Amino acid sequence: MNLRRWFLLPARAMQVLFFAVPLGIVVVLSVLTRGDYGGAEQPWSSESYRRLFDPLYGLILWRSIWIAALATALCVLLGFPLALYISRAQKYRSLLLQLVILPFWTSFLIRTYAWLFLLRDTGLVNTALLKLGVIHQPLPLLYNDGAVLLGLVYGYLPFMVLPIYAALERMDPSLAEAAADLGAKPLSIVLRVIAPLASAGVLAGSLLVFIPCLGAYLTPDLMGGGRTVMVGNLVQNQFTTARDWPFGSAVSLALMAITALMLALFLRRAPAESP
Amino acid sequence: MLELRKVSKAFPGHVAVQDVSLTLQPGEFFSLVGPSGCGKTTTLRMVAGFETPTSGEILLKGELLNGRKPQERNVSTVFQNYALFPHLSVAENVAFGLRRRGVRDPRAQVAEALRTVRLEGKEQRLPAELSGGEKQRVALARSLVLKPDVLLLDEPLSALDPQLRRQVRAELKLLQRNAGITFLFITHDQEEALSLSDRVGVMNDGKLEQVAAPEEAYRRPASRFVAGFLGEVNWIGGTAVRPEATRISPTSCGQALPCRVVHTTFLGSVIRVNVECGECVGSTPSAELFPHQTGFATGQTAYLHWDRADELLLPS
Repeated sequence: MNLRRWFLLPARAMQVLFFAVPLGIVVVLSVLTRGDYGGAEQPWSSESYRRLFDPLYGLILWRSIWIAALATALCVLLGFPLALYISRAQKYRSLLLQLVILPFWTSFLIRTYAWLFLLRDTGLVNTALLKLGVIHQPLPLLYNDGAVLLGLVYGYLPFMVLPIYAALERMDPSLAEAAADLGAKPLSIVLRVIAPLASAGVLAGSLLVFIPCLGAYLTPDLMGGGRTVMVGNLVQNQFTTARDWPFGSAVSLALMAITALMLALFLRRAPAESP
Repeated sequence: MLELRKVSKAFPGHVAVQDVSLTLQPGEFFSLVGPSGCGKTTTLRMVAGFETPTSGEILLKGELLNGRKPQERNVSTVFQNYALFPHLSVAENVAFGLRRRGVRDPRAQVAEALRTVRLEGKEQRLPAELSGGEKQRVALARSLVLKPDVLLLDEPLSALDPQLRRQVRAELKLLQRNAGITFLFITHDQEEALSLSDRVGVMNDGKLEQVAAPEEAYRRPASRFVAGFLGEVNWIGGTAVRPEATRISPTSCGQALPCRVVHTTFLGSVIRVNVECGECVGSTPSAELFPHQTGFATGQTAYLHWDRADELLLPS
């Protein structure tokens, strides 16, 4: 009867099979009891959720939110001027955009390893500084919060630049001219006209950076050296070494709930932003 | 008030403005008119400071503007699309320039400016909630509140629908008279330029072809381009004459030119009769009749005549 409905079928099937079903499994796992060799077994229990409020895990969650927020803020500070510069570039605009997207041609894992080679004690940066005599001991560039932050900002910066660029690109260039004409100095033009009008892009970029950063496990695992544990690592540990699937499931669901809450807040604000 | 001395602007690949010299008198309504791409907007943008002249000087009240940033020129621009700040209310749009000049409490001046453009009561609206005409008035208020030496208007009526345009035109003229501010008005609409201005400058292909009072430019155009741009022209042999000065009659009398009627068009206040003849150059010449005069049938032979005094004197 309605042909268009059939077009949705493959996507619907994917959604049910690979999203709804696994999510259901995770929900069921989270209310079971931990098995001796991984997995989960009867009886039903809310123990995993109670453990979420253990101060230790609260601390990990809090650290994750803090690191993700810091990474997002740094991405805004770096990404906004970059996006503004690209949107104003006359000649090389598309080339510069390509350069922003270029890292995606290489696996994120490999790019993170590249950072290890640059930053480790015998890496390029430390070797160069030692040889130049600037330092006498290798700097601790890896395996700390700073390294994790660097890795996250590096990895997610393009997700901040692109939406801000899109917002700036749509903006009428005569608005900045009008502001200058009315006597606004360059910084004032950016702060009072350009930034407010690009706020939808900044918000979208912040979401695209904050959410994956909150759940990141690869970067903290490799660059934090196991010392900087974020929620993502906690989940991974529960399913591997700790063999506590119910608790891992509960943590995953808590993370999802936080993410959903953020999205809901964003969507409530977004319609007011669109012109 | 404002003086341009041999101002030129070259972009890579083409010259947009070439040796434009021009002096605006204080309180004058001056229009730069010409087809799109003739360089009129580039000229305005150089005065505003958005473009840098390749050569030549721009002076405001005798002071050189070249090298000064847009922020440092006491001129203000009304943009074609008005460029109102969409995130600010009407009042904050108007207050924007005052605040940048360090006015702590601009409320009184904002209220005064909004009263001038009859927008009282709309202070808290956002630009998106205004009609086209209201937006245009906010843009005017935003500039006028700064008391610029010269107000630059870049086709400010082109975004309005035709009925509104006539009404706004009259208001604009009145506002300019009352405020006593020098206007540099850019338009591609010759009717707009002729009806509003104290003087017009007709631009073509980057060059200023004529500067004169509207009547003078219309009656004594300095070039074929000016003649054709400011109004319709019948090119008959070596003579140029306006359609409204061309008369047509069914019988020959004196020095009349025989022709054949191609078609007649009823335009309301007049009837336009298009004809063809052996000596006509370009499009078919036309004459205008009042509706109560005798009609002409297509294909009919008729005679064109005109007063020698109405011929346009063009440099050959």
